[in-house]
Amino acid sequence: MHDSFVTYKNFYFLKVASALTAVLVIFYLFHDAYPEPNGGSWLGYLLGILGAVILIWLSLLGIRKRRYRSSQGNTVSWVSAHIYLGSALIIITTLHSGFQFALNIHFLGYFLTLLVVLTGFYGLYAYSVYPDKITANCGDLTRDTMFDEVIDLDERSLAVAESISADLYAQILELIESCKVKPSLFRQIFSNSDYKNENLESLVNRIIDSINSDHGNRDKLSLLHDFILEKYALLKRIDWDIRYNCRLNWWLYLHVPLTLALIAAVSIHVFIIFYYWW
Amino acid sequence: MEIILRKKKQVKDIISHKDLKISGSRFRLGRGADQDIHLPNSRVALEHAILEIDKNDTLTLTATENHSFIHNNITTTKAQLSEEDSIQIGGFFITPKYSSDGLVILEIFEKFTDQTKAMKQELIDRTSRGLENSFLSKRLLAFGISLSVILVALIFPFSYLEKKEQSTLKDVSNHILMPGSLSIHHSEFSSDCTNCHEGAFDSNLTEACKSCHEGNMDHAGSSHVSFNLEMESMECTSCHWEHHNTETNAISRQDEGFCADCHGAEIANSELLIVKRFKKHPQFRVPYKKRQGEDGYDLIPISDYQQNSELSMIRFPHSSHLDNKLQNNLGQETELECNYCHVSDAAGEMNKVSYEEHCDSCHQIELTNNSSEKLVLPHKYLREVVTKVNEFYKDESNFDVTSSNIDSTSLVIPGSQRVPLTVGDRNLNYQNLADAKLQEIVFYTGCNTCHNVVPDFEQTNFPWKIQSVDPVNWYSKALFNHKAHEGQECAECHKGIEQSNSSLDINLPNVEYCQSCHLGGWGSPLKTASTCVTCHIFHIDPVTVEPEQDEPYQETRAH
Repeated sequence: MHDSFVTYKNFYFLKVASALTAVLVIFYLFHDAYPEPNGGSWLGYLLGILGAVILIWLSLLGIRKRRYRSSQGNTVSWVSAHIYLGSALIIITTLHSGFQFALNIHFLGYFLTLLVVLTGFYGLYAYSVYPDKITANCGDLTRDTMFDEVIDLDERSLAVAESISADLYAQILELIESCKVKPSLFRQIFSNSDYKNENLESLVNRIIDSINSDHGNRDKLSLLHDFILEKYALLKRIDWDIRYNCRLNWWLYLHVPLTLALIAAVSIHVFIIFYYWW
Repeated sequence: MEIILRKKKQVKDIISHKDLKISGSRFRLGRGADQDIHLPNSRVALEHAILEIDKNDTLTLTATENHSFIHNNITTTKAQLSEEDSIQIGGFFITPKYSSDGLVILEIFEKFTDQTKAMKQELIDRTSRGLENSFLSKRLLAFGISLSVILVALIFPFSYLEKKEQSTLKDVSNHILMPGSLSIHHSEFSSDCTNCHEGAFDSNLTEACKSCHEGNMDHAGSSHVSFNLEMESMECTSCHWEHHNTETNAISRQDEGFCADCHGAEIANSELLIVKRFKKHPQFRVPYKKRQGEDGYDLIPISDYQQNSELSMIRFPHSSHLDNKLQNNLGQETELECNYCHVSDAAGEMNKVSYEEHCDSCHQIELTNNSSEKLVLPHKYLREVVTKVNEFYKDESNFDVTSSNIDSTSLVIPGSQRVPLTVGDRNLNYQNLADAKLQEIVFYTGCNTCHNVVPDFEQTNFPWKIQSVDPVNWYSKALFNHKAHEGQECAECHKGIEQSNSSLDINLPNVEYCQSCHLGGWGSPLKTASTCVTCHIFHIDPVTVEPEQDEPYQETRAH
């Protein structure tokens, strides 16, 4: 049976992370910290060191997944551990902070941790949803082959249009040259409406009118009509493919850079703590 | 049967071809390398179609499941092919032909012209390329954000560390580094970290503390500390912590660990018991007898106390005062609650019980003259009582010596049977009456009710005295504020107090009872926090109630 990174080894890393956080929460609840729970007590230091170690290890996933010959566990196990230990990091760093928040470098590390983990949660959602949608949308095709299909339809449309009239040929050529699938970043991430090409729809309507009026070229016009509609359907699939891929990957443009920023912030936090020995 | 595959190739305007002879009646077409007719193009499926040829050289092309091909510009899944028909699968154009000797020739031409490539590239250029090909780069973003963090959180604040002039930017830079605000005592130094932190990686701030607190460094009760601690080796930060945002602005450590550092082990030349934390707190101890040869009391764990106190206490049965209808001096019925006598001030400190405030209204001692006027006798000073009684009986107008109103049975001699005075004795002189009345008050109706009356043979005219009450503070090493517990009934902690008949009953809670609600340190979800300083003060002399010097109470004698 296929083991996904979520269910890996019957949720092994979920159990590990849950047990770890449960133990730490119990320690926290019964810990005598003076004058209030804070990162400077023995438990605070323990939580801080643990959080930093987990952070560094989690960030190594970016290196591990590029090492195909690594013997340090398979990538699925790394991703599974990455997800659950990363989630545990929210609790560990919150306990480390002792719920003391202020606008300073120490809070910045905590804030970045939250951002990194939250973007990771989105990534988990995206990886569980969008690959299936991409497959369902593309079928056997890739985006490149869909472009090939579109160009093929364009060439065939041009050939048919040329045999009907020079005017229609010009219109088809104009449609081809103006055709684009370029959703904005906002639309890629948030919009769920289909791709719309008004020029194309307008041309289809004109061809339908011609089919009814130009009986001599009815078959050719019908063929052209089918070509254009087939192209329209392909353009919609390309548009969805662009959007699904964007939704699958955009979070990495926050998750990865924020992780490195977090490492920088944590390093500064540790440096300042020992610089002043607070 | 044999067919010829003619794969045509166009390089610029020159078209070349290569023939390949294959035999069979059923040929598979597809992108897969194992296909009989290999069409290497991504738009062709691995197994795209089946070409069958019958005995009459009739060709039938059938697409595999979910695939199609274009036959003479019509998309279909099955077609019978004629010579010169046009078949398109992906980018391949296939045309069946027949050679002069009757062999079937399949011309296969991959249409991939420069124009096609150009059209495709233009379409791709007009199309969104996705985040991977956008100007956004994860590395660039990571570098930019990380650099921003380093600039804002490290370089900016440290660049202002050495600047002495105050400015908003310097203030901001300090707060970026500061883990928690300073207490109100040191808040004025928050504008510059170097006010206290003179050296990097140095936790010793003592010199900085001394710069303001010089001359006041021996403030921790050195007489108690010095025998066991080397104060000289201690730093200010051993006991005082800053940057902790405490509600009380306290900077002195109050955690159990702070006290347990010393009290967690036996302390030389000290009777102090070992206390590592409240959970292991020794049983509370109460005084039960005076220490021989020196001041103070011997202590006994309250759990071992068996009404064996040797201390001088007043007699007071709580049982007869609580849950009983009592009568005051005016003859009115009244019921007492604990808080009639035990009243705390606004701060929660329990006031002392005093005769005047709490006892006098019921236990007033008075003499009544012939005119029914009442003479209230003073409390506290027996000498005044003796004087007042003597004066009362010296004035015969106060009473009629012959009157039968004088209750002769009430005037008795202490230590004797309650034998009434004879009329002769009574009439002999007023002094007999006064003495008898005095003895009645001291031994039966007044003083002896609450106090021990002991002989004092040094005195000849009235050889008795009121035994002094030992001014005991039961838990003298601890502080207790009743205000924090005002939601509870008194008897919850002072168990059995309502049934207590004797002052020898102490009825104070033991340590286990406190531990049933209190956990040491900062508590838990189930128990209330209590550190050492919740009940104890750091190295202050034992808290005791000193006798009032201006109004000596002890050994009050009668003359």
